[in-house]
Amino acid sequence: MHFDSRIVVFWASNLLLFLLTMLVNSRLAPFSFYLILLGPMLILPAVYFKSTSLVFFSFLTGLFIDAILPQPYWLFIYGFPIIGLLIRRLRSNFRTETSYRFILLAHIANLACIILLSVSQFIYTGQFSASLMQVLIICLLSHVILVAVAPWFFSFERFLLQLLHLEYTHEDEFLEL
Amino acid sequence: MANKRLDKSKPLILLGVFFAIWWLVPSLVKSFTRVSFSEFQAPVWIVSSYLDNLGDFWSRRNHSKEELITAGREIARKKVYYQLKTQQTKLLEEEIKRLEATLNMPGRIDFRYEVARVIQRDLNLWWQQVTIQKGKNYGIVKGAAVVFEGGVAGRVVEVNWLTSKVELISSPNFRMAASFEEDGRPVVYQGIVQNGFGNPVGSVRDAPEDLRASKQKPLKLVSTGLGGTFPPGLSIGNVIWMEPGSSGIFQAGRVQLDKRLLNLHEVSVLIPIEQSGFNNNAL
Repeated sequence: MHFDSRIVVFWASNLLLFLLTMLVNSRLAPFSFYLILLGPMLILPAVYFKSTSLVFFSFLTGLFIDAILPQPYWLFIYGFPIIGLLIRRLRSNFRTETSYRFILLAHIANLACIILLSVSQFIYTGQFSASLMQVLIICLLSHVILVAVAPWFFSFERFLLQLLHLEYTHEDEFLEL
Repeated sequence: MANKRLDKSKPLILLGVFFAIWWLVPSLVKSFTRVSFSEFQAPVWIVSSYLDNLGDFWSRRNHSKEELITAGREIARKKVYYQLKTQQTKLLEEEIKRLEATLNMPGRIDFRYEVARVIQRDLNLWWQQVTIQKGKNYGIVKGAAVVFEGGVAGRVVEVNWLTSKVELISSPNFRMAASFEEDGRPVVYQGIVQNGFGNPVGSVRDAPEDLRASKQKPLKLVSTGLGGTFPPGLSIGNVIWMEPGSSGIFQAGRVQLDKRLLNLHEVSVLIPIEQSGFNNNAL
């Protein structure tokens, strides 16, 4: 397996998005608002990478998210590769680069992340009914913000690839599916 | 045909192999990766804090000279007041020591107060944590008590080289021994999942059944010296109602916490003197 240098670019972009979200969350804390914007991190890599590179990339992304957030140290390490591979299986439906389907997929992936986090925390704290309303508010707010953030983030990732003269065409494997 | 089926299941096999490898990795390596990533992102928050300071500096430069002179005069008055208070505190401490020696009481745990700036807040329904700008470089230890102007703020849960993470008392993972003011019998305080907007809340249980709390006459919950982490008498919050708990013997209720918890700027970490290795000259 050769090392795909695009992994570093996507990983750095994800790190930036995650830290910016944390920064915004820090400012929103007095108003009891919270954003979860993890969905867009997996969309372009799921389109461009072979499954080996995708699993490795999503594992690395999951590693830093789990290290920073105070949750069990396995949630996104295991969760991200699964979500990534599920998106990859759907990719034959969104070949067009400029398609709105990328944004739709970012929403689906983000929702999957929120559900994953909620379920793990419900199991841990056992307080389901008390938090349902707050989960809905987090969900609603995050997805409203995601409408604007996802297109920007995809453009940013593509810009970085162009800047570093890295190919961003699909892998050959894509045609075989 | 068989090859095509194998191709389709290849990602799943790969995923299984990857998970198995990670599962077999020794916990020491996992712990190392976690600490490394945590340390790696810490400078971002420090830089963000410096940028905030810079913003504050420029906004304060816009104040007129008259405003600055008035503020300086006010600070000078407060300084004199606190100097007098410090003298009074010293006298009272000496008096306490003398009485303790006379009564042969066991010695209390002394704390060093390390004032730290809050550089990041991560508050949601699942966890309530803040990051402070001091870590191992200032002798912060895991499990140390954290207080603010409103009383107990939380406990240090993670210490990095430059930063530390503090779990707030409103977090569902936080639990401590407490007692009601003017009562002294121990009860259990625990943070709960925050259910929406407004003041943060917690829960109290194992409260004696003879205690009554109401909106007109709330009971004040304070820390006890039990466990040695928190000094006794620090405010936790107010209890406005209690009902019989699941055991039927004790009562349980809601604790209204200080709203300022959601917007902390400065906190003090209480480090037991014998653990710190520092001299008690911080205050």
